[in-house]
Amino acid sequence: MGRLLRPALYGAVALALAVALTFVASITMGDAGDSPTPDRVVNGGGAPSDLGPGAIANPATFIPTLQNRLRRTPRDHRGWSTLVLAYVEQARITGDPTYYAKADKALDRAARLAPEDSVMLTASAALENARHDFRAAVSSADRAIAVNAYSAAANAYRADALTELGRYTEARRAAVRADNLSPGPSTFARLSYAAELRGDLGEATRLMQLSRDASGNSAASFAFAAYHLGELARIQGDLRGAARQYGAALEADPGFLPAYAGRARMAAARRDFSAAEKDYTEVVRRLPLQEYLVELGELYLATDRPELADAQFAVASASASLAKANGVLVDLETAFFEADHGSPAAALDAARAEWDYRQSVFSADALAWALHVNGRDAEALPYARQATRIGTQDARMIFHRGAIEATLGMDAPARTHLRAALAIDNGVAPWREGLTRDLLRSLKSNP
Amino acid sequence: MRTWARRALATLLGAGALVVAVPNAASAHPLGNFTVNRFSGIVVSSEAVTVEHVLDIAEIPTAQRKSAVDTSGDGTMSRAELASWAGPTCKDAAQALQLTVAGNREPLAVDTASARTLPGQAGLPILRVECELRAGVAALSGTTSVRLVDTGGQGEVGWKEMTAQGDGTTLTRSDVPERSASGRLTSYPEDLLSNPLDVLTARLAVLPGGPALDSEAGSAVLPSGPLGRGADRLTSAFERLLERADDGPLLGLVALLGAVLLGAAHAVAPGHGKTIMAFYLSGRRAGALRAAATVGGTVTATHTAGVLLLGVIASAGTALAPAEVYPWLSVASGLLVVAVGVALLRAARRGAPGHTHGTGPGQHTHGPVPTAARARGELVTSVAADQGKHAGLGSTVEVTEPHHEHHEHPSSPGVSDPAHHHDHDHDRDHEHHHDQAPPEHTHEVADLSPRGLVAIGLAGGLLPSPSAVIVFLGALGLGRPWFGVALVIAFGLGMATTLAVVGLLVMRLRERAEARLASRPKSRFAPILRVIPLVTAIAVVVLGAALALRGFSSTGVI
Repeated sequence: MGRLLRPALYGAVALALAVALTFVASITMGDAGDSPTPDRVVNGGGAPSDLGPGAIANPATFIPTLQNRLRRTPRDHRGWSTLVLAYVEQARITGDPTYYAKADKALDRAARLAPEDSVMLTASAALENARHDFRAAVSSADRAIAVNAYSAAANAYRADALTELGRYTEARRAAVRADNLSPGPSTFARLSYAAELRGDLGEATRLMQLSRDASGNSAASFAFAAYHLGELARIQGDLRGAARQYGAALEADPGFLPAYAGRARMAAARRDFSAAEKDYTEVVRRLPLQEYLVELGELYLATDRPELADAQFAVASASASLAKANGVLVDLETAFFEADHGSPAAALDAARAEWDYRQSVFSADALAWALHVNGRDAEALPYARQATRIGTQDARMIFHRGAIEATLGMDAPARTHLRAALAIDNGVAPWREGLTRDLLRSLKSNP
Repeated sequence: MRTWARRALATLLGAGALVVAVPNAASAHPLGNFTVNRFSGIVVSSEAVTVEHVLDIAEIPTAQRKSAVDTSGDGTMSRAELASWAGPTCKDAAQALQLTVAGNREPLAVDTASARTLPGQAGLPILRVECELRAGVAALSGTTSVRLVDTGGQGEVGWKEMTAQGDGTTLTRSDVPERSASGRLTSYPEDLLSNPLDVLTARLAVLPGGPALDSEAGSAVLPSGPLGRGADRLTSAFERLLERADDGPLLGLVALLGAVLLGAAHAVAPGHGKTIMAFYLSGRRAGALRAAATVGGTVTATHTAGVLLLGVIASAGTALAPAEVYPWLSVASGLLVVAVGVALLRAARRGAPGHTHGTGPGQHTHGPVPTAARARGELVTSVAADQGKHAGLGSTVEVTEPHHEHHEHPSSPGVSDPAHHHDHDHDRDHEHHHDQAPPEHTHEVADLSPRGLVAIGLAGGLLPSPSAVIVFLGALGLGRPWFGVALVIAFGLGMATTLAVVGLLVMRLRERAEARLASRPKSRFAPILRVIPLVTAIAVVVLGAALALRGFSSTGVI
């Protein structure tokens, strides 16, 4: 071979190699770009078929991997969409709202790259749910399903949004559809929640056990299910069983704050107020969410320490004004907090806005209670009935109905409902329990 | 056509402007209203360890602390109340910070403590606490380990950061940065692809002696790029350009041009490849242009293949991280260079004694002194002539021998052996040289065959530039793999051209010097020139060995 030919041969070999490698690259990359659909992530992200709570079984380890990949391939819209899901999940687990802002921007990227992609639309629904923009979430999920009818995740987020909007029949249908498409711990958890709302606590417990048993090696998923089993046990009066479940949740995931709160509620139900206070204090130190602040404040009220209670309520009220400043549309907890410990007028505003936006049993309850504290019990009663329309076994809700009926002089139903509230959950708040007993006593002395 | 080019230029300049403008978009409180953010800035001097501890407390935790601060109960946190609250708060912080120096717990004492409120969201205040903490230590001798663990705020949501600097001491090891990424909790970087810092431990090794700390510099904010190791600002700019390459053929062309420039920039940046190339080419006398082209071509081909391979590995998953491949490539590259160096060395040793056949007309000398002719640019013509002569002879060697004809024995294919001379029947060449009437002329002693050139090119291209990998992956992300290949080839061409030009420049410089010396053959510098091939060969071996060793030490095998 001539020496001129030799470099030419080298060149040809190099070129052939380049061509072959590019071919391989385009194939493998095409594949990799498509692989993290939510269903894959959802199904393969650690626990099999895990959506919604635990959509991405372990975001703490999944997020860095995804971030690295997106640094290299910033146009990978599926990657951005998956990152949105992971950030939403991380925000849910850690309670760190920063991740919502990041999720929002990541979603922007994904939407710009692929405006009609089903994964992007699913991620959008997840974020809108987290932001309490449930109507937008339904429409995003609908669009995702229009593109890909077999997306279990889209159906799951649709079910969540519909539940929050009070469209329970449709919600259940969507949850069943998600479960049929891809059964797993989170679809079981959703079906369990639907049963709990209907007041079928036995079925709710059975489904949540399924969810726990299917959680595989995902600690977060296990803790989530165990915590809810604890709550179901506590509501049914099984404090020992509840303690076991909270313990199991904390053993699986020592950072799972809802389990601390559950343990505090259980301790309060046992009248072990110092244990309850200890757990609540730890919860609000780590994550001062309004609902926990109010529960701790009410614990102080029940134990006759109104100044300490006021301090907690002051923080809760700061939290409410922040929510307002941040443009949060609707806020159930604010409505209840203002009704019980703040301004009745503010409570009515919040509850009215809430009810205008969605007609769930909880927004009905909030509006009924806000009308009651404003002395408008006649208007409140229909909403109180709405709140209990599907049989939800919620002590606070049933107490509200009983209290409204008592004010309206409807002694018999009032007595029934107040007693039912005490029977369901004698520990939800010792402070509210005191109110309930006072009301019952006044009903008896007033034949 | 002109506006076309101008727009292309404008785009490139725009990309440059982006680099300057992009640093760090930061916002006041990106971490939410729930967070308690903590920072510990460690400064180790020869007699004390000081910790600047800062707490940035968002609206809700501030509200939680309000009843503790507002002792008068008037609903405001006055300056005096804040001052008296800061003391115990800093004391708590000092107790929560566990400082260990050379294995001994050293208690931190509060030097100064201050707290102030700043306006937050929704008309609510936020708190900022600043504590100067200090622990005296015995004078450091030798390397001392220092460790700081923050046990405060366990489980709180927030940004947790530590930095460490030496003041008259040198940190030989530190697992935290010198500068704060958040400007000491004043501006948090907002990057979609990063998580809040969560650093609660710092481990340092401190050696006494070092520059005093410049307090100004200490407060500077170091922007951390979004891209990892090896990816510089130029690359980030290029990535941004790449994202827009969809927009039209013009931008595509600009991207290609940019890739050439990026490759050139990579070649100019300090690195082993250039040094070896320079040494190698400076050892050559003849056919440098052609040699440079061969080396350049091989660099481009190898580099392109390497980048594509690494790109495929990187995109296929995490089974084999590119970071693990690099050291091994470095070893391979180093060994190749050593092999080339050894071949050079052998050639140099065999040729070095010099075949001086005399100095009269019609004679020529095999020695390392070049002709003035070559220095005047006749190189190229002689290359062409040479090529013509040898094309049909089946020799593997002479491509790089522009002015002196001899044939290689097939038994020693890689190295031209000046000991074996064949008939010199090329009068034209002799005339040509004698026209210049040099006292001597050179026979190249330390040359390699194309195989050697290809080997050096392989060694140079074997280590894919991270920038090129990123560029390639960027194109894949765009869904345009072929464009990616074109970009990588352009990158390689830019790199190879620059390398070749550098090599040629070095050679020209040397020739200039030699030519000057040659005009004074009695110069005492003349002997130096004689050993140059030997020296360059040794240098190539040493550099190759260093490269291989360095690669091997980072493979984690030893």
